[in-house]
Amino acid sequence: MEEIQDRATDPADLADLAQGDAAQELADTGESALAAALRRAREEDGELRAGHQSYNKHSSNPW
Amino acid sequence: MPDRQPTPIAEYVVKVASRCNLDCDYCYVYHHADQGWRRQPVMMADRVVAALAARVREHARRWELPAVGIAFHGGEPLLAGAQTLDRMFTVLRRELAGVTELVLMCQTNGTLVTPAVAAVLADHDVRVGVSLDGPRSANDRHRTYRDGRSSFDEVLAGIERLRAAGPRVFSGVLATIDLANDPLEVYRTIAGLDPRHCDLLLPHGNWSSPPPGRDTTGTGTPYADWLGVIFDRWYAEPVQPLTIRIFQDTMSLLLGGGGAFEMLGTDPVGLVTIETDGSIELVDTLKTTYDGAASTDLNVLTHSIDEVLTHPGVVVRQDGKESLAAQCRACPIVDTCGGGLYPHRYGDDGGFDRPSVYCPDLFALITRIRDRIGDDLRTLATAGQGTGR
Repeated sequence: MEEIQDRATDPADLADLAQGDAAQELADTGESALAAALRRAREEDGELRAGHQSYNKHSSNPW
Repeated sequence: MPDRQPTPIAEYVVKVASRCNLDCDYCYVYHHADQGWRRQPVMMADRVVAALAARVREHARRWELPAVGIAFHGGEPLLAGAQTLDRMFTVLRRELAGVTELVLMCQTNGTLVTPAVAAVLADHDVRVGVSLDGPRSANDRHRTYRDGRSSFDEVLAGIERLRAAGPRVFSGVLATIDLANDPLEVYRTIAGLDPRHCDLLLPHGNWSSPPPGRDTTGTGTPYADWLGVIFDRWYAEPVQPLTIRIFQDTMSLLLGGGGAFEMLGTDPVGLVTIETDGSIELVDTLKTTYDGAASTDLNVLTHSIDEVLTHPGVVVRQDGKESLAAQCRACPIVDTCGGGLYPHRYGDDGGFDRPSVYCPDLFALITRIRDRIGDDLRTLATAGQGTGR
């Protein structure tokens, strides 16, 4: 298992990249999986900052 | 040390029926370590439903929960039939009205969806997930009747009835992975049914009872490889055709958002299972580890939901990274992986204080997704600079 973890490189700071103008524009207008993920991350980050994260975040059920 | 603030319970997996009309050979209720279903009544009684509704209302009010999810499970929940389901949903909707937003869900094998059942589900705005492992050949590997007959045609007919009952009723497809299935065929079959959501589940297993194809002494990543084929296809679609929870949650966590699935991330878990007799249990997939693993000795007939918040099995799921194995805490992707699904960490000799039995697969899948979206975001950023943005 240690061998597996040693393979990791420094993780890209995706959260910072996601804050960039181009990424935010994609989030505003895109219909791809990446655009949807950027929108969701932005919304959830906003909720966390506002201190009212839904209690329903961690679920067993996807529906 | 400050007092721990518990996370209230906002999701209930309710075992409306303890039996099933199918006999899927991988089912965690019947074909794994826990055999508690044998001690359960066949169907949930009205007085249990009434007690459950009152307990959920009390808990939601005390914690001012904006929303609560109640998912009907089994066994097969639709064995209850249209009239009983209507009665149960009515009680829950009535008791929670004005207290919290109630999200009703149902996980079914799809074979018992009559027009009457579909109408009840639509009337109560229930989001229905149907279990289907892919095309007929994939589904028939495991999801059969007791006599070995295929369930495939009945499942597709059930989905059509759900769809005919209203635009929101058929919510998604849940597929359990079998490495022998062609991942793209599985993806195409599910996407072809046009669900809003898809959940691809790793088959249950742990260090003592490893999943099929998972060599616990090696670093092979067969499940990551299988899922990666679907990820590449799904991710490249210019218009996202459906959400796939394991990918979407991974991306969200990597991008600084949250995870919605208890398998990923380190957010506290606030869900319990209500057994057919009203017993309050921990997450039902613990049944794959050892007999009685999910038991709390509490019951909605005699205990409040608050009482489960101090149960060690709930506390440990709300401690974030603190509850993870040292190896996980030191891992560079721990915030995304979160140690994997709790039951998958189990080993006969060490409880749950270890990584997921799927550790190499989770590592490979998450880094694959990380690298892919990282490349795309860097390309986007570079292009933006080039245009002066």
